[in-house]
Amino acid sequence: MKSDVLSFSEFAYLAEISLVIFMAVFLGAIVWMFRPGAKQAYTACAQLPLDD
Amino acid sequence: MSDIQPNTETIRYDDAIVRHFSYATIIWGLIGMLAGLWLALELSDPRFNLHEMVAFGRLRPLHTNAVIFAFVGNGMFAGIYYSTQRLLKTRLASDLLSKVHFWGWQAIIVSAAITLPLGFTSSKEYAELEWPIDIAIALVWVVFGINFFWTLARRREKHLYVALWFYIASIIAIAVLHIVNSMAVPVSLLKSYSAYAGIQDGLVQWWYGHNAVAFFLTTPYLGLMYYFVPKAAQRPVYSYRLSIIHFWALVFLYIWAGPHHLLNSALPDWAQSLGTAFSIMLLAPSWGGMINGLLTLRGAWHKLRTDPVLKFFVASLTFYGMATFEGPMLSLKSVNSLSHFTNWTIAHVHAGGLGWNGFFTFGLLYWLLPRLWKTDLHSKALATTHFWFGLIGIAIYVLAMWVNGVTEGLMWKEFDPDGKLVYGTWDEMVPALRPTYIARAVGGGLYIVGLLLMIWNFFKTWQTRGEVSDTIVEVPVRRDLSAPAGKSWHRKLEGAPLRFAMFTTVAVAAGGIFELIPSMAIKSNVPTIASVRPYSPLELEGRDIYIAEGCVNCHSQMVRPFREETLRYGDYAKAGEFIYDHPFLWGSRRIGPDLLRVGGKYNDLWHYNHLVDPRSTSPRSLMPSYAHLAEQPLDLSMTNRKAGVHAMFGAPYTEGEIGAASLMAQMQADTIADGLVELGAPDIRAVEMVALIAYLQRLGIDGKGAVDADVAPVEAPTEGRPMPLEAP
Repeated sequence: MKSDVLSFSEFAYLAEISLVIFMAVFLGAIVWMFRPGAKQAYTACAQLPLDD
Repeated sequence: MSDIQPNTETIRYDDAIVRHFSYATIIWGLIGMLAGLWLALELSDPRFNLHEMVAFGRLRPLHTNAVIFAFVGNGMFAGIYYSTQRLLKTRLASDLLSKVHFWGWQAIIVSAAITLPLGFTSSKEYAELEWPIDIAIALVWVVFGINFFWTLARRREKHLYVALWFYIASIIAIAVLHIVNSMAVPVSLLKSYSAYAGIQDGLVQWWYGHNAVAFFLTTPYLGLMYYFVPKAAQRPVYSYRLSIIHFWALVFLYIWAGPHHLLNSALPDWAQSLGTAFSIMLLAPSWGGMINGLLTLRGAWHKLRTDPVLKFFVASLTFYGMATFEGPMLSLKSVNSLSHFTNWTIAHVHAGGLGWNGFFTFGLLYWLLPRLWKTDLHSKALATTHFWFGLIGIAIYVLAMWVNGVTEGLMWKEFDPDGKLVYGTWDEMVPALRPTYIARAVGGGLYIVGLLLMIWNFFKTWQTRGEVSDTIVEVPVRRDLSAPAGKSWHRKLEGAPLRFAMFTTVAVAAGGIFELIPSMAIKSNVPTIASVRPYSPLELEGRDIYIAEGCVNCHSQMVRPFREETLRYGDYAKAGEFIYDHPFLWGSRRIGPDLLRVGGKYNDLWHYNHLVDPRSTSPRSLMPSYAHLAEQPLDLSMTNRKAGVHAMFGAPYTEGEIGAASLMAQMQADTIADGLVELGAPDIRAVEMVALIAYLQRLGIDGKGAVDADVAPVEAPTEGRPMPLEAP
């Protein structure tokens, strides 16, 4: 029963949904990174390897 | 007694484990590369196949496993353990787990070095090790993961530096990939069958194979790049924000690109297109990362003149850029139709392996070991000489394999004005490739000379070592790290390892889930072919011998839908032909011809002669002799169980057939052996060769319905002489 349901399901839409979600997360991350004031925080982070 | 609490405390970093992994990197690197050199020599002259245990088919997986998991693996662990402690300002969580990780990993490598030459292999590329070793890998990886995440939990630094993100992604992704791809049903202590068959096995295998490159050879090394390049250049990374984009883009995109290893095959077209599209997209984050690494040297380029560490790092990043440009290009179906199965792919992976991973590892060791020994490097000049030997070696190697790959790809496709193949037999093409095979061995030899110089340099450096002990540092006292790292959600995420790991898992798993589930579930992906039957018991045994000898390392079983391939080999492959193939044996390289349709093409005596002395039937063949199969007793004690496992997978064997499988195998062996004896060959009814011949004669028969009636049958010789190779 389960395998029959799976075998006749149309899964192609899953890839489309995932693409939209990933794109949104990705673009969201970029927006946050380049928001005003972020540069200072990330400049400090970049110093970590030189700080040990 | 004072109420004032100190602001700092003294801790010791565990440097012993870093030293141990570094030493293992050097030892296994030398062994793995020497195996590679020997393989190159075997292709230059088949007489280098001195013994069946070091014949090409068995040695090749030893080389790839040693270089990937032993050389790069140990180098990666050394770098991760060194940098993680310093970035988190804490000692590794457990010395015991570190030691279990180290010795467990070395035991796995040793067991690989023993079992692979003995022919115990699953045949799945870069995942050849049999099931008990697979379980050991999973356990040791879990130990590594626990030690790493426990260390994260004990950290004194709130922010997780970007290098650590790459480590987290690598640890999670490799665990998922290894477990899913290694699903198998054991039939004995060192023999198992993949749980997947045919195109599904192909898709899972290359989802794993591609992402082993991604998450074992790339993401951990990118993490190391983000730590060690700034250290060596004494500059912060060029753009921290670019590194964040680099990370998420890479983690999201990489996992989808696996099907580009199966272009123009029987894999469903939608999966192939998905693989190509994501491969092209991968170019952006890959080059973003390379540019970020190279520009870290802004204002410090002059150091390149004198610092061999930076020379290795910069060359390594350049090779990373070249390889990640070439990869998407090879993922275009039209380019892939020429490059696939040729040495062009070998050039590509060695530009990445020798250039990116090899050179970065050398730079890492040159930076690391003198510090761990509390001394200076014995000779920068010698390290620079190593660099040039390595660089020239890679240049010769890659150039030779480019020329070789394009040459053979074009020869396979060349038609005369009458529409016939110019190179009708495989044998005619071999001499054209020999000079480049020799050049490859020279290039690899130069690279190893460089490695030997490094070992000498380290030996002299070690002689001047100071007190070899853990590094003692003053670090801030532990404080409560539960407060968010910042206001934005991503800043919070950067200080929350558990949530970060969960996001990474989703990103890594999604590509696999959305690609693999439809291919497994949708019936229309594998159209049923009525004429396709399961293998006979003897053919099953023969298939296992084919796997054990590593035939798949030189012979594909995938006729692509191109005119030159259907003319040369026969009908192109269909997805439904492979439903009983646990594992699939499509292969990734054609050092010899495709064997999908070899069944019925030659008679049994031709195969006997060819296996005993390949040059007797194909005078210029590079194939090793398999005469030992005519002496190795045929073991049918497991045949019933093997048939039972295949029945469990869905092969329509009856209970009676399973119970009588070994008897049926012997009956078929008797028939084949009797026929050969009549032609003057020795009696092979009780040795492994009879099973291999049975399997080879079965290959592709069902898929083309029957032996093509239009093709003239090969006449049986009247005496036991070798048959000449006929043009198809």
